[in-house]
Amino acid sequence: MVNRVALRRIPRRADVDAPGSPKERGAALRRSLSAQSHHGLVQFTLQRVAGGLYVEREEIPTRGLRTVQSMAFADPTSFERWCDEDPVRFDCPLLHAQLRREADGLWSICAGREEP
Amino acid sequence: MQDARSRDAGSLLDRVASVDYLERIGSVVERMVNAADQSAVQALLSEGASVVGAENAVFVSFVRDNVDVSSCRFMLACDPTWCRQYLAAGLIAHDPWLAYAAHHSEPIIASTLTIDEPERRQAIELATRNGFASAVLVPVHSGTGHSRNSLLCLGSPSPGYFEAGGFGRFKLGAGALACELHEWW
Repeated sequence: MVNRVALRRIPRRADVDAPGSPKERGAALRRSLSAQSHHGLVQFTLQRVAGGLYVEREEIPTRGLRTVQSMAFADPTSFERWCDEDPVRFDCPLLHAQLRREADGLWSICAGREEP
Repeated sequence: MQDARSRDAGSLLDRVASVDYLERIGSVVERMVNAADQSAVQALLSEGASVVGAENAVFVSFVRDNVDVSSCRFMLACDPTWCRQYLAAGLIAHDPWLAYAAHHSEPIIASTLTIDEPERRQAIELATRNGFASAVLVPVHSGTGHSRNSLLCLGSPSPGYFEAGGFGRFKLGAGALACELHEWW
């Protein structure tokens, strides 16, 4: 993940990945998308996992608190409900549509497939 | 899934009295050490919360610049709507649980904190409505000179759940979980 603004970042163990690591192998089941609005940058990472869909939502405002939320959804309905209540639906409608589309793809593509 | 967990939970005292209680927590922590990515850790947070005897969990890691929180990361094993409402209402600045974690290292039952200010009560009321009617706070601090702190908040929608006994043994498991989450994330 690229740190696009000069704010202090909390380091995490997963940032350092050796080639061929499980994270790298799982890249096919992961999507990243982002958009810049007048509020700042919003970035989503979606990952199909055995238990459903793992989602990270990172918001880097032009001023103020930088936040990351990570969570998992067990089924498409609960994800869609959460997605439709997200502020990006109105702030960044294109990103919202892309988010829905990418998630749909991950749910359907991996429906009969186990995570590596 | 939450309903099934509620049925199986019983009292905290029953849960922590199980002979393999600490062994099961150790297994979760061990897998966390070897977790390949964040999605795996998030799943283990959910499993770990259930094993220690909680129905909901939030792990928050935050960095302070002087007195203000400048960066905050939430790993959620609860209804994610809570986090959205919490951030939208700007409750970080007035959250008494986060304030406790910033200045203390001892795990406590959240209801033992005295909270009088209305703006601080707002954060508690939101948590109460979202599966943390009874809650335990487990702070974790980095070494001296580091501005990063973490809080594992474990919750139950049943009022008085953590107050009814078993907390001494509970916090052994919760502490191990919180330390590994802090280390990993």
